[in-house]
Order: sequence, then structure tokens, then C-alpha cells
Amino acid sequence: MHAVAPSEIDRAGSSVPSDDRRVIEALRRGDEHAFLALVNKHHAAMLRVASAYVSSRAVAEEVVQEAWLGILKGLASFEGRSSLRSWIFGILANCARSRGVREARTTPFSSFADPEEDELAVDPSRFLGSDHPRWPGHWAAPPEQWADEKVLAKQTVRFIGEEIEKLPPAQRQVVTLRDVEGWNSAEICAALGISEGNERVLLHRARSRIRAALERRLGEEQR
Amino acid sequence: MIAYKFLERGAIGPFTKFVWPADGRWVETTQAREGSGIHACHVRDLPYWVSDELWRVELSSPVRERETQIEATRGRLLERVARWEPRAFATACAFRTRDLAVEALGAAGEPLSRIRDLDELLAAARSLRGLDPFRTEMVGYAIDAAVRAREGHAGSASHTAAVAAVALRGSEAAFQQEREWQAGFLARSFRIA
Amino acid sequence: MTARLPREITCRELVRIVTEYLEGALPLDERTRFEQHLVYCKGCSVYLRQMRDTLRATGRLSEESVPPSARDELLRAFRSFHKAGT
Repeated sequence: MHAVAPSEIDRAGSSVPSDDRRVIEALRRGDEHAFLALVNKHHAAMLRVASAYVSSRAVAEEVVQEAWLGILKGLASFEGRSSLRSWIFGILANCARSRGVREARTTPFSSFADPEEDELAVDPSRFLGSDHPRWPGHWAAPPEQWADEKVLAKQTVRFIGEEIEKLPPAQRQVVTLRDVEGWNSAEICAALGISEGNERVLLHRARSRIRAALERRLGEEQR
Repeated sequence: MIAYKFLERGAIGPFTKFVWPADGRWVETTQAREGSGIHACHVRDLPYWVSDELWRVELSSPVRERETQIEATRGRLLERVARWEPRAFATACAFRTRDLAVEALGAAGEPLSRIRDLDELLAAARSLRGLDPFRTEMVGYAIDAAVRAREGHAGSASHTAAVAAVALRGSEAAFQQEREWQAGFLARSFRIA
Repeated sequence: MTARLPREITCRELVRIVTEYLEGALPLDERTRFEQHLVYCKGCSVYLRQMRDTLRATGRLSEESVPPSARDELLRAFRSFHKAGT
């Protein structure tokens, strides 16, 4: 007998309870390596989440530092009812939120609010119009398959990193947590305080932009 | 239940990318949500799912019948239908589409009607002049289907034939009828039980 | 825009719902229509493949690590907490 993998790309994001226990015990023992490993593991994602609430990168970094102090304070009484990661990000989100409020930031969530304009994933000129006699709405200029070596190349990965930096903040937040860090939707919605529908729209726009940029780039390389 | 399943080259599920064990081992799904089971189809639905390889499969009950698919929680590959050749099916559908165009063209369709070669068909169809919009559309389908058949793309060639049938007959029922013709063709040509 | 055959989606529509498909959020009947479309449309098969390729490559991004000054600060805090016997 043999299990079938579930339908789509499914990245395991959550921590394993026994791993959590090991880490907590090491931290309580004063193990510096374990602490630094934990900090490194979550640093990038913590910055992402903090950035969603505050006005600048520098402030986000401060928030992350603050959160770690809170985490260290609470370590002795952490009972392990939630995963270590959820607990860490819960503390972080609280710090980020109150810092955001203190900054009297008027638009912390506007970038997450229901986006008004429709952002098209693909330029409309790529499709045949509704007046086409045989294939209205079908591809006029269909995409071409990318070579595997191009997809896996280091420059491609680096290029995608650059494109992510160019994204609007909310899209950047969501696509990083989902596709770089491997969080699932529920975790992202909890950390950023957004609805599932919202998360999916942001993810769609981010992925569409990155794909389009990659298509342009790989198309240029071909010439 | 015995059923059929199209897979991509290497016995790979076209949508899940799951690699099916060719040794006929049973495969079981974890049934996380509706529609996440193993899919196969009856002969009549084969035209909707064409791909590189055709396999005869066994599904264990309970089986859920859906519109163009069957879903089960357990299944296994029995044997590959070795005679299945996507290009041959695509070509047959291209000539079917040609027949539909010829029907629409009347006398003007004579140059197309006896052609048996795809390249010749393309050349002849593209050289037709002075057709009204409807006939241009029908010839357009024949050209599309022939181009797709030359690429060996059975999925689009067969779909084009069915769309052309709707355009010619002026009814959506023609789509289903053309698909039925295709299923019959598959069963006969590739010795599918 | 809707396709001429009511039970079909157009390529334009497919591109719009591709993320819902990949996230497993499409209702079953829409998912079936989506997959049927892939069988007859090479362009959309390639598009979906490009989306998957993009995700593959994105997954290989490793993010920045902690800057040394921040790390030292945290280490100091950790030591003082531990010393304090917490």
C-alpha cells in the first residue's frame, strides 16, 4: 500500500513537537548555539511580518529585537500548547501591532485592504478578443516552455529575489511567507491578520508579476 | 471496476504529477477533501483526457461517478494500451474537421475532400479565397486542427473538431456527439475493450 | 469573458484562477473544467508549468540572516536572562 501525495505543491511549514521540546530544553539550559540557530531560522520571516505593521525596515528590525526579549522572558512559562513557531510569531505580531499603533501609522493595513483596481496577471494583448470568430479569449501569443536548466539556475533564483523586493509590500509579505518560507495560508492569515480571500488575491498578484518578469527575462536571454 | 486512465510519459499523473507504480501495486489516497481521490474514466469519456500514455486500471469500490470521470480511493495500473498513439488520433480528428468544413463549403470544398495528407490539407485550405465569414470560420477550424495534428497534440485537435461541429450544426449537442464519435474511434482503433 | 460553450473556461479566465487552482481552493466542478481545459490547450499547460517553475525557483531563495550587531545584542540578552536564573 502506498499513499498518494496530495494534489498540489504542499510545503511542510509547521514545526514538529519533539523538535520544539528539544529546542526549549536547550534554551532553558542556556545553550547559546541553540538560541542563535533559532534566531537565524526565523529572522527573515519575523522581519517580513513586522514590516507589515510598521513604517520602515529599521523600525521592523527594532520590533524583532523587542520580540526576542519578550520571547526570552516568556520562555520559562511556555507550556507547549501551541507550536514554538506560532508562539514566537504571536509575540512578534503583538509587538509589531503595538509599535504600529504607537507610531500612529494611519495605513498599517491599507496595503492589505481589499485591493480596488483589478490587476491583470497577463497583458490583455496576449489573448484573442471577444470578436475572434473561433477562439475568443484564447491565447493569441501563447507562452513558451522554459528550459529546466534556466529555471534551476542561480541567476534565476537571484532574479526572483530582486523581483520580490520590487513588489508592493503586502504582496511581498505574502509571497515570501508562502513561497519562500513555506508557511500555509492559515498561518499567514493569523500572522498578518488578513482573510483567506485577501491572502489569495495578494499571492496571485505577486506570483503573476514574478512569472511575467521571469518570462520577459528568459525571453530576452533567448535573443 | 475496470476503467481507463491517461498519464503523461513515465506513468505520471497529468495534474498531480504523481508517479504511478508500474508494477501494479495498489495506490491509496488519504482522501483529504472531495475530488482528491484517484481519477479514471469510462471509454466514453476518454476524448476529454487524452495524454501520452493510456492505461487500463482497476479501481476498488466504493467508486463515485462524476460527469466525465470516476473517482475512487484505491486503484492500480493493470496494463498499458500499447496501441495508443496520440498522433494517429489527432490526425483522424483533423480529417474529421476537414469533413465538417467540406460540408459547409459545398462545391467549393471539392479541393479539400480527397486529400489524405496533413501538409497537403494545410496548403489547400490556406489557398482558398473569397469565402464568406461562416465558411472562412469552418475552414479556419480545419486549418487549426491540421496544425495541431501535425504537432501531435491530440487534446487540442480533438477539441477543435468538437467545436467545429457546434459551429456547423448550430447546436451545443453537436459537441457531445462529436466526442462520442471520438470515443468510438478510440475504442475501435486502439482495441480498447 | 465566457467561452462560447457554456461549460468551458477561456484561457483568459484560466490565468485569473490559476492561483486558486494551485492552492486547492477551486470548487470541484471548476477544477474539472480547469483540468479539461489543460488537455485541449497547450498554451495554458505551458502557463501552468511556468507558474510551477516559478514556485520551484522561488522556494530556493534563502533569506538573509541576522546582522552581527543585532545578533550580539540578542546574545547578551540571552546570557543575562540565563544568568538571572530564569
